[in-house]
Amino acid sequence: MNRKENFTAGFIRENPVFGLYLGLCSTLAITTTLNNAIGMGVAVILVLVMSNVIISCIRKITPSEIRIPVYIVIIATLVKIIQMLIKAYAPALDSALGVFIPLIVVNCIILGRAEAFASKNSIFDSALDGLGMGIGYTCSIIVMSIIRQVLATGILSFENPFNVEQVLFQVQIIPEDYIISMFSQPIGAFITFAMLAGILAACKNAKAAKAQAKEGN
Amino acid sequence: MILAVLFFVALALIYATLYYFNHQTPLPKDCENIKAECHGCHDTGCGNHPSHDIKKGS
Amino acid sequence: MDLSNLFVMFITFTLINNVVLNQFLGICPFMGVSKKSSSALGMGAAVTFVIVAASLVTYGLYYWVLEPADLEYMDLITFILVIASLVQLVEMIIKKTSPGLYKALGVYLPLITTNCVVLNVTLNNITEGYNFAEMLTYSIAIPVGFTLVLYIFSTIRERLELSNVPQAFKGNPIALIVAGMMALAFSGLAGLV
Repeated sequence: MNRKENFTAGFIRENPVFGLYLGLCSTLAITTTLNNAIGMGVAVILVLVMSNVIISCIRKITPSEIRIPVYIVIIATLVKIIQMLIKAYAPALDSALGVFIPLIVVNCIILGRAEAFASKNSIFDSALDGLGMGIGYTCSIIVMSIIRQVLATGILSFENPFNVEQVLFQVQIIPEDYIISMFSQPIGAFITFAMLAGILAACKNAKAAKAQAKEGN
Repeated sequence: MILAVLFFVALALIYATLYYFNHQTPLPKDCENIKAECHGCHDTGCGNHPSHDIKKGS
Repeated sequence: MDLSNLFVMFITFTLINNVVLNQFLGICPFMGVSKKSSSALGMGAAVTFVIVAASLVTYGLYYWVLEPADLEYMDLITFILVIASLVQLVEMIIKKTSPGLYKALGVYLPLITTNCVVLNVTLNNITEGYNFAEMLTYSIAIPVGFTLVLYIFSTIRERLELSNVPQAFKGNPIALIVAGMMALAFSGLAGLV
């Protein structure tokens, strides 16, 4: 596959969240507000790109029998560094995301991409793949958090993560009398996720049916 | 600082050795086909995923 | 060591603050192992075992090694390596000593290694500052809640396989909607304590 196909694989075709169902725990838990989603997405992109690059650099010298332990060690170190950086520079984000920052270590996306792609491809391709998958993940959780936040609170707002007092924009989309606060609770998370996954599956089925019809003709 | 690095390396070595030995021990006789029931999952963190099978050469 | 406190804690973390339905952890094995109810019980036993063992080891390691040496920042790396090593060790021991036990729960052990629940329990033991008895109660309550919800979910899912679900929702999406309904049901228990 050429580079462009590799890069865009993470957006729709092999969307890690709604297509492959990886990284579900963090998706369901943190998509309550747009701030959290963007913060988590950026953290995951950073860890993914850096881990892909490092693993691709050392792919020729790791013994293939113990490559999974090596990957886990590298990813754990990177996540700890990111966690300490977030604690230092964006403490509000740290208290909002809570335990889900350390849990990026066991996020299936990162180990999955390291194993499936970075261990077999060059540094630049791996970085590009990491970026693509990370952007796919971030866009998915941004969509889900926008839906949940707008339906649950009616407000779409974004604060500066480094300086929480500064509100960058705040828009009241649905008037307060019509909000459905269920969406900020677990039931809302599950239902929003299931709907989005179903829509993606429906699009994929439609595309596959069209391709099959074309082949039949 | 040195202590942290040594501790880290020691833990990583312990894990790598245990992982290697675990994958070298064969499954008990009736259990060869249990893994085959698990299919379609993309979770490479799970040890049952085929990516964990030790292949000779990469 | 107030027993009534521990009992309340047990009920809270099993039913009210349920690990899957409220804290959103362990969704991956929740979706993956719930196709048959027999495998759900095996998975539950394996999870309980791993979480209790990992909790004890990491708790001891943190308070007797990391804290005296001023290495608290190594907690994440230490915990994940210890959990992974423990699971490899246990799997090796079970393979060698008891094929029956391996058939029952050995296959699920690798799925719990890199799993949100175990890491979360071990990290929370530290950040919430539990003493030994509370740590033990917490580490038993969480997997019991997990097993309960997993078993209920798998029985529903067995029925769901035979129902007429729209094509796009077959498999995981409809399962997630069912999980959402369960979350709604369990949230009604919030007034229990």
